Amino acid sequence: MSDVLMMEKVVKKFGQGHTEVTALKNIDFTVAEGEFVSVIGPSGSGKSTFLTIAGGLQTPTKGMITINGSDFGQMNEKERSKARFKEIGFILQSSNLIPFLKVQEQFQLVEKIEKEKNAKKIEELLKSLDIWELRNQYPKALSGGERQRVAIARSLFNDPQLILADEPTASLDSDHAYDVVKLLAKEAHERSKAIVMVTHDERMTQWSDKIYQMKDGELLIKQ
Amino acid sequence: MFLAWKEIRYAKLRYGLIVGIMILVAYVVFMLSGLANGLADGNRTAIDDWRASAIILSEDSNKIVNASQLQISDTDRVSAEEKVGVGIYSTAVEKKNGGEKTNVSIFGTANDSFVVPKVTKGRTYKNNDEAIVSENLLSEGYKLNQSIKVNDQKLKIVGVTKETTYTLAPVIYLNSSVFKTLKYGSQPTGSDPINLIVTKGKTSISNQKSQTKLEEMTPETFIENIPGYTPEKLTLNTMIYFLFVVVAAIIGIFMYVITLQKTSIFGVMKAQGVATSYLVRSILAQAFLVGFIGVAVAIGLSVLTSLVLPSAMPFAVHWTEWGLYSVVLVLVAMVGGLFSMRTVTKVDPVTAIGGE
Repeated sequence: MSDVLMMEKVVKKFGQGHTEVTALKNIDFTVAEGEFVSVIGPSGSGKSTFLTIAGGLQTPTKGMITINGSDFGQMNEKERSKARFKEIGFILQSSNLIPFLKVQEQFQLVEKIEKEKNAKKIEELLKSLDIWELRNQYPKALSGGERQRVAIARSLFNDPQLILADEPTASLDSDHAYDVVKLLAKEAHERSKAIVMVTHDERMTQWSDKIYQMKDGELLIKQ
Repeated sequence: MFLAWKEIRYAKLRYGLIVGIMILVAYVVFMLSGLANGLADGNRTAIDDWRASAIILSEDSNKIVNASQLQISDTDRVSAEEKVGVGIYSTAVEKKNGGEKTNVSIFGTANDSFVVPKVTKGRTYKNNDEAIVSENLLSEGYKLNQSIKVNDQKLKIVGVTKETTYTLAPVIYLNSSVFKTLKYGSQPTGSDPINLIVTKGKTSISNQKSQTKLEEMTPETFIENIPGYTPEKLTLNTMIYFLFVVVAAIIGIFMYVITLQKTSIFGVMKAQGVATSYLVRSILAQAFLVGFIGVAVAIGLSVLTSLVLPSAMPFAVHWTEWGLYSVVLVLVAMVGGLFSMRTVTKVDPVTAIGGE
């Protein structure tokens, strides 16, 4: 199994002088394909910063990040944007769906941007996640659980190696939350994706292959 | 275009309102343009119909035709391929047995000169008690072969020309000598008084001391100096230009507010790797669609309105001008959309993650 995301001695500081805050302290972290990893920690522990840096939305103050062997630190904003589009899938807290697009149009938008069309691909993906029936609904008409299933499908659509999930269960009740996490674990194993899930809810970590604890900017392996 | 159109479809009410405003503003632009051109045409058609090369007035008239007093003999001092003296008199006509009066512009000139329009009905004037009238005088209840009265002078309508107006009044053509009687009555005047000389082809004037100094001008200059013509046109056109600014502001503010509401969505899309340029293009596409739909509907409405306007409201559709204004309106709407570009560019994808 090859490593998809590698972070070496990553440090992130905000502010300067008196107001300087170190959000991440010397983080070493790797995820391999087929691995489902959880990072837990209370709010303010730096896990959001960790995720934005892992996803190339911010650059670290020090240290190195590679995704599929390419160094994010060497890229400019435009290249990182392209890399995010191709190689990373995001699943966000409430929903990363665009409110004015119907479910299947969320995927058509990606195709428009990529300028290649494959109706089969959308159909297969939606069917495999059991949301094909919802394809003509707007996000607001879906339940929280359905919305996150669509979001998971959206993150898988470009076939990225790495999927980053930011509190994907935050807006769900426990039963639906469990379903979503189980689905993530299944997709990681079946499709050989590297999935990193950040959460503050320890109950959600039971299906993870590895669990890390984030505390005051330090990342410690728990299990 | 994909995002732009899907959002308009989703937020029908919101975009319906802004398209509605766009329609109204564009409608006002087209109506003002139509009225401005209607007024302008009403003032100038008769002069345009001459297809003259130059118009000559007395220099001391300051290009105001009513102040220009010339004699028919002054025509000899002008050399051109064709030249003719014309007298202009704004007055009113009435039917033989009285009744309501109608304002007209009377042009006195030789019946064989090139300025006299072709008659569509009847024949041209010959004797001193004959006149030809513009078609639009007929809608006031006048008829071919009818006797009319101008300042108690009896005239007979012997011919009708196509619609032509000067200072918004229908034009009557008649002989120079009867013109003199109509305008001056028994006042002493020179031989045959005229107001202006119209020429075709290369024109030159000889001005000698002790003679009234003549001044040559293009027909366009002459028209611009018709009292009221330029101020009217300028006022209406200034309103139109101002409306272009209003459109930019309205669309700009609307798109800006909508953009602010969507910053979190833009953040998510940017995090997913959607290029900023794609988002900016989609905003411009929306502004284009709003502008285009608004203009198209407004043109339709304006054309319909022009059909039901009373004849007292002169309205003229100049399609090239409407086409130009349409393009400007759509462009200006897109300029309004550009205001939001900076906001979209500034949205940080980091905001997509960890937001509560």
